[in-house]
Amino acid sequence: MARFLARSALDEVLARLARSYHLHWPGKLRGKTGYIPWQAGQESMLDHNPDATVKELFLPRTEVLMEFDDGQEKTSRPLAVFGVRPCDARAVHLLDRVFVEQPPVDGPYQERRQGALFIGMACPQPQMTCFCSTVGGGPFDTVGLDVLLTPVDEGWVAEAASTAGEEYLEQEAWPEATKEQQAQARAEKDQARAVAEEVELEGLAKKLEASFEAPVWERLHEKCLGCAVCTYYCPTCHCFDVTDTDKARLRTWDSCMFPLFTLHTSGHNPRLSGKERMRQRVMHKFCYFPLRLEDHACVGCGRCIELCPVNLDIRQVLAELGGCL
Amino acid sequence: MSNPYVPKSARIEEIITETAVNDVKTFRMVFTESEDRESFRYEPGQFAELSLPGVGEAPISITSSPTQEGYLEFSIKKAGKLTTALHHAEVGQEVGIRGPYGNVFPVDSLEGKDLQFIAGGIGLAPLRSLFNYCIDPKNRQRFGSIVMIYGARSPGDLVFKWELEKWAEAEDLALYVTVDRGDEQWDGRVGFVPAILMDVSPSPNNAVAITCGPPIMIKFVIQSLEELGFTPEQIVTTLEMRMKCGIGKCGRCNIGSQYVCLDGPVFTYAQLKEMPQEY
Repeated sequence: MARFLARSALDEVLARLARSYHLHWPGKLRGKTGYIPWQAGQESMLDHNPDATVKELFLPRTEVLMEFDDGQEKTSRPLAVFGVRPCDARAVHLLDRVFVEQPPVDGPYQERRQGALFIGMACPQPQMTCFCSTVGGGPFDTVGLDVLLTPVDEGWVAEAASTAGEEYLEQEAWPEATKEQQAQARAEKDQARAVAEEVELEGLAKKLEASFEAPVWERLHEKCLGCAVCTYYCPTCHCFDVTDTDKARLRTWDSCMFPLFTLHTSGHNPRLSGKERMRQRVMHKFCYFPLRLEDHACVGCGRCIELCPVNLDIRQVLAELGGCL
Repeated sequence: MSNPYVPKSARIEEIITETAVNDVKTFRMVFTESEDRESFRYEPGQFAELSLPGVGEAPISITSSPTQEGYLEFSIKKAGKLTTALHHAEVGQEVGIRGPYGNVFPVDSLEGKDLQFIAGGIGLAPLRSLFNYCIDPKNRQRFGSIVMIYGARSPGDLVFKWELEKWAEAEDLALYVTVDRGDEQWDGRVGFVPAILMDVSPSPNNAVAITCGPPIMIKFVIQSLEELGFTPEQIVTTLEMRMKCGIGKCGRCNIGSQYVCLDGPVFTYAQLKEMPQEY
């Protein structure tokens, strides 16, 4: 049954969520936007897909893997994210493959992930840089979501996308969405369906596997500065470093775009130039990850396109690869 | 929630200085807790993440054999931050160990075969685990002839000299030790490992070659083995790669879609030929 969440009831709903969950939603973060802890009275940014992705709630930029003096258990409420976009939710679903499903389970990640509630915001007006439909998602996709909200007049039509979502809606008991509201939600979905089907991904992983030595890589990487902004703002990139301070062992985001990433202590480096590093990034997302875990490690959120200082467009890169391989 | 990044505590029981220039030491370690001594079950070919709090962590192959019970051995070249700190460590110091990680040498498929070991420098460390496993009296009859060719740049660079003497006296194996350049005291073989391999000229019939050493040595050893008639399936090696987590999460040790920490470090030459040349 589709429910209706009235815009006027939003503050109450969020306050209730915040009592049981460590609630996050889109907001201003370090001069950009990201998923921030919800506080009463905050300005709503639900119509915006944040710059920083939802991944950092589960895989923080830096986290303590272990403390050297004691390993005190931290107990806290589970995380909830209100207004997460389908692309970001799908990304966390992909991260689960690596951190939870592929043994061994990554304890620190799983601890944040367990019991987390994702209340998603459908995306009726995708940006120029969006291509979620191309990589198996979509602006109304519910993979990784518990509830999907679709904006309609005066509020949102809410539909459960998981058992946890059903339970949540049951407990909240919002009024049933009217026929008109449901029709409006359906219309939004229908008009938004056509998101950038520019790239042919069918069979691309196999093609890429055979393309390792292809001359096209020489050309493709030339523009790239190796700044790694694409990987830091990617919701599925999850490479990390492990380093020690005096007090703790830390996990910190790292990037395959940096030369140090693969530098051996001996001085040998298997990925010496930008060519090898850019190839690794594209291959990991569209060849290695699919071969190992049967999905593309890209959700088409378009952040890497939007934020690249030299306008390298992953869609063009894929089109070029697909065309010439 | 179990945290796979938290190591078990072990104590250094013995330190053996291996090389004349003092850049390789072998550490014998024993877990502090008896339950960890019980639960840490490994096979030849695997590695562990060693750590010192406040210094860092590094993946190191386990050089002892599971037939040597009660302790673990790691032979470590002084190269980076952690290995330098370990070289300054003393007997009794505590070290963090997590693992064992990675795949194993294909012991079952080696049964009944003639085994040709070919090692260079510190590359003997990972092979030594399998070698000692195979020559252990409990296992020796499971394998055919066992030959070890081991070389280093100079006599002072040979590691495990204390054990080479034991191996040289053993009757059910053949040991060939060589150096690239001798010195005044050296009265043994002089010559590169691939050349000695051609002199020994092992038959590829019902045989498997297991090799590890500097990349350039491995390259020429493989060429020699192919000349001798070994097929890519009959050549086994073990790789190293910059690594952090050791458990397939941190995304840095892959060669194509293969993760050295999960799918390796042991690969046949046949497998390597299918993988991108990026290691």
